[in-house]
Amino acid sequence: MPLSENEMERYSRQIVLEDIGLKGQLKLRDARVCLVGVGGLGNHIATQLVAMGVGYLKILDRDIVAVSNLHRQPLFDTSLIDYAKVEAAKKKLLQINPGVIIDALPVSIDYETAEEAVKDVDIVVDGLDSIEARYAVNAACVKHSMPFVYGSAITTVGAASTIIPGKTPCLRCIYPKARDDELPKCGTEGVHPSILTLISSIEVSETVKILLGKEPSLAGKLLFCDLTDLSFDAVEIKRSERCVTCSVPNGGEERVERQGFVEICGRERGSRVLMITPRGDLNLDMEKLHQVVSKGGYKVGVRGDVGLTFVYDERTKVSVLKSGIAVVTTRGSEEEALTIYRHIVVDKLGVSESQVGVVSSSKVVS
Amino acid sequence: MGEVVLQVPRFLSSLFKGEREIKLDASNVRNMVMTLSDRYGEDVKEKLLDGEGRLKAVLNVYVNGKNVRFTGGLDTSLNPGDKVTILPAVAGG
Ligand SMILES: [Zn+2]
Repeated sequence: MPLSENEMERYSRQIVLEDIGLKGQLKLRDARVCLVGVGGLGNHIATQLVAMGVGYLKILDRDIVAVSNLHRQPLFDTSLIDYAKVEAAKKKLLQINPGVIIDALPVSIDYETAEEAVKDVDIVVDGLDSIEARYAVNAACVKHSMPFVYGSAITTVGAASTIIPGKTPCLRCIYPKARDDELPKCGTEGVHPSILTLISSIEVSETVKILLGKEPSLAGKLLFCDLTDLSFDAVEIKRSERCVTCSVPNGGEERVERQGFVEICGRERGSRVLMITPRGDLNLDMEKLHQVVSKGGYKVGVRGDVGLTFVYDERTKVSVLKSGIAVVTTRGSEEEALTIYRHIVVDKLGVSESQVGVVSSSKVVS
Repeated sequence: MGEVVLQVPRFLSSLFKGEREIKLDASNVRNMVMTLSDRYGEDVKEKLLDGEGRLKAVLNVYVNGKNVRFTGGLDTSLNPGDKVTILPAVAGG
């Protein structure tokens, strides 16, 4: 189908570009993209891809909107605090461009959900904030020969590389053994909004090149940028024949256990923000969850389609997503947070303990 | 004896008096760090190594594009003409 008059007008300023043109615009309309993470990078990536007319975008994120996101995540505003990020993002993105299809999945990225992410798309774009989650996506992309555009940023620095399985090194070739608990995090180190727009734009530019059948510029290269002196270093990286993901057949068990608990550090003053991740997607009945919460006498803060936030007591606020992931902001302990979670999800909603599978010996990332 | 070429990314160049390309004799990566430390000051060691003398977790050294974490870390041997660079792992977003 040719572009409609409306589409011609909407995309006119990029159709005139030699790099895109009419043919390119049609390719973008047919394109299917997965964006993992709609935080600091993902906000800008999603906005650009949707505004440019990429026909289908799948977005995955486990987080809810917090006030401390708003300085760098312009899809969200004050009225959307406590909503699931994917839900808030989808709403805004469809306002920007009603002509695209968006799948919004409120899930945490691990080796299982990464498989889900890469299914039925042409390319995967990185908006994550964790190296371990990226390893999972990288592994799924290598397994399914799916291009993966890596990008990341913290403080004033950022990095990007384009991974074409079979041709370029993969993310594990670049960073073989990194661990989240050994790397700096935005929650404590901070992040400059400008490095996010810079890196996300580079990721989008690489993505569009691949979608249009052109050569990406960062294939086999690791780009490192620093805003402090606006420096750009591009280093050629080689595939390692010892890489457990892309080179050694069944070479290493790279899977990491699904974490029961992750602490999102320093997000709210005086409180801890804990994320509880059940073993699998619980696909909760949100209507029933609302009833349980209301009947329990808890004050409902925000009620979205895929997330519900309520005040448990004066110390604790809880957001539960449809997937069963919960974000608990509390002055109490992890044990208390788990007890509250079990009370609602197991006792009241009737989900079995084995499905939940959250262990109390928690791994806390701080 | 031929020399190894260290390509210094800008974010580290202040450690090396602004130099962006340094030629030196070194038989392995550890040796390279020590030579650089002798030449440019103790800051080099502090910036690159942790308290136990290992390469800092956040840093990666690439020899001809290959991460030395695959090849013995600081013990990775260097040959004349090898191109070495150092970049941090970036994982935020
Ligand atoms: Zn690899």
